[in-house]
Amino acid sequence: MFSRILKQTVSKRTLTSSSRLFQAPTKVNSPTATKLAEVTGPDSSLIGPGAQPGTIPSNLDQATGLERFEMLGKMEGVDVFDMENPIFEGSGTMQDPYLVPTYVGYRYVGCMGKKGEEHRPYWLKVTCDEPARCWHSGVVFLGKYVGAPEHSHH
Amino acid sequence: MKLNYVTRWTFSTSHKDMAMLYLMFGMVSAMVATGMSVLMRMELANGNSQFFYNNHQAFNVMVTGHAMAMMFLFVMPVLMGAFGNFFVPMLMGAVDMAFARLNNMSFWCLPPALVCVMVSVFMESGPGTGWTVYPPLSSMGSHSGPSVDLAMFALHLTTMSSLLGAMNFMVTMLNMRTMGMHMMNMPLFVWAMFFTAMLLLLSLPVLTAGVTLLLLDRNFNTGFYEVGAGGDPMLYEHLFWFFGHPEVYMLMMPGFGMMSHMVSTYSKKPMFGEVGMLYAMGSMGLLGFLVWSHHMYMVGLDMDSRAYFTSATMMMAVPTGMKMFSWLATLYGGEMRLGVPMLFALGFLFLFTMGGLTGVMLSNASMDVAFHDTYYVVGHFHYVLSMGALFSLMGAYYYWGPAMFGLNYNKVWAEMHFWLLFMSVNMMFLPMHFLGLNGQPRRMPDYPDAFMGWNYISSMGSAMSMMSVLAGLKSVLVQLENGTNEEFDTQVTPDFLEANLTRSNRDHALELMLSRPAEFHTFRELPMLVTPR
Repeated sequence: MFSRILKQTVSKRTLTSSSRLFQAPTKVNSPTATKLAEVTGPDSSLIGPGAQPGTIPSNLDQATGLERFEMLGKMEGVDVFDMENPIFEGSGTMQDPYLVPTYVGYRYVGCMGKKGEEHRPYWLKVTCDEPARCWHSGVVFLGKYVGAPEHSHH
Repeated sequence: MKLNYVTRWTFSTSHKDMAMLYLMFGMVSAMVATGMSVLMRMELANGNSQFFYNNHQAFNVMVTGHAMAMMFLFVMPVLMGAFGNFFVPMLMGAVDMAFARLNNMSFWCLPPALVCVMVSVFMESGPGTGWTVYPPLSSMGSHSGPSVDLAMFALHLTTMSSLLGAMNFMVTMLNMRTMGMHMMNMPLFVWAMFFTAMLLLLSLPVLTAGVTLLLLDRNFNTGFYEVGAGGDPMLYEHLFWFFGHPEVYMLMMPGFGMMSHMVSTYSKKPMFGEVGMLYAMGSMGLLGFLVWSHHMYMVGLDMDSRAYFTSATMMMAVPTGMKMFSWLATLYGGEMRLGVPMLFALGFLFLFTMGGLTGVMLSNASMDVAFHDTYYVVGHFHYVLSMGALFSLMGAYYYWGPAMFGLNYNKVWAEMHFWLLFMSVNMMFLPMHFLGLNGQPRRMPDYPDAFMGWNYISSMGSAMSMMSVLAGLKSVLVQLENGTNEEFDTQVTPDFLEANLTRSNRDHALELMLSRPAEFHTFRELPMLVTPR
């Protein structure tokens, strides 16, 4: 293993770290995406076109990777990483609580009421075991384990 | 990976570890600065020379050292460095500060600054300039030798520390809020720190410029402040106070944020007028930059400038009043609990208001003819800082201390700490107003016999303040040594809706429901603030 790395390092690029060598080569043939639908994966479709000569690049000109993916989403009004509200299941009642995705079995959730203006943030420790109910607005949350089954302690 | 002790505390990049370092550093500086204040008060306990053998320079050196150590090495490191570092990320659901290594660098600028101040005080005849370091008193003609230069270096070092910290805070607040938390959802303490960081960022470079020019004047024969060379000492005063006035707001603003949390929690009510509070802080920050010359009414400002600075300074009472009435409105109708943090909060409300009222008197240029450079001013700013900033700081220690250490404090010692401090600061600073009204000048270690009575009472207050410091130290010691573990006991800190025992399941404040002490990275999974669909 060590000798292989050493050989590669010497033969390809001296002083390049091994982690750099092990990186998968990036596909460079995908054209730069200008819309979310044109993104073909973590490849060159997410590499910005750069600035025209003589101009100052904007963020959109030079952003790459996940940042560019997020920006393309924002331009179309799509929250690509669900940073605003990752709850998609349930209606917030005791019978049908909002299901809060969690990888560790519990999650801190701040409730702001149905319209977001009902009350100041009220924080709950939502677990997968029993529903947690906001004492201001009565909205009910329950944890939903979304990690690998072998990592769950439930 | 487990770090050894020295590595952990020297190279740490964890916001919690850095906060602890700031806290310990601040406590050391506070002891030093308190010691100096006691020396000053003992000298003033009676007419004629008591301790300094008529060495008035030495008295003024104590004045300088006390001010610099208290402001730059105690209050700012503890409010911003300790509580800011520990709780800003926690309140926003972030795992750490944005620039963790910068955080470490920011702290390690401070110990050399303390060394510079101490060396400056003990070297040659010391810096008898006051913290304002006005030329020509601070020029080579009056203060030769490296003492003043070292004080300047200390200011430079604290400036570097504060600037790095301010940038770190701003980036953290703008970029690291957790899922769904918009700027308007940030708790008031985080907002307070945001405005403080902005004030730091905008005003400190001006101080650096002013102080650097002074260093050049002193050491490289320039003449920016030398009248003989075509310079003007007034330039320094303007540069200094353009920084100096926002500085006092930097000392107060984090305390305002903490006050809101304490008052709300211990009244069991949400903060009244939260958005108004936030706009009040913003306008105080803005106005803070527009009033600096009220420190300089007596230098020969023209009438128009004095009229402007008087009106602008008086306007400051509007947002301050908004904050005060919002706190009172939060108390009103609430189910108030007189826990130790609430005692400090109530003390703050009462005494800061008194300091504010004397501030309105001082804001008036025509009144200032009588008040300028008297003990009235000293009384005023100690009411605002020693009872405003310090009370909020102590209150915050008892409010958040259990969350920081995971250990309960001893209520008896903590209350003793409060009452001794409350009585001593009033005994110390209230008489100063009477002395000032009668014309006793500040920075003078001797006075006519007629001033002896109130001076004696004030000095006795200072002796009592030493007792309060000892009670405070004992309180911390008892907490750290015998403090019952938070996890297995009824929590000291209540929330505002239900019993303490449910704290770990639901609370109005994220930082109060976490495990105590919090885990190394605080959150295993990002919390989320949601508006259910």
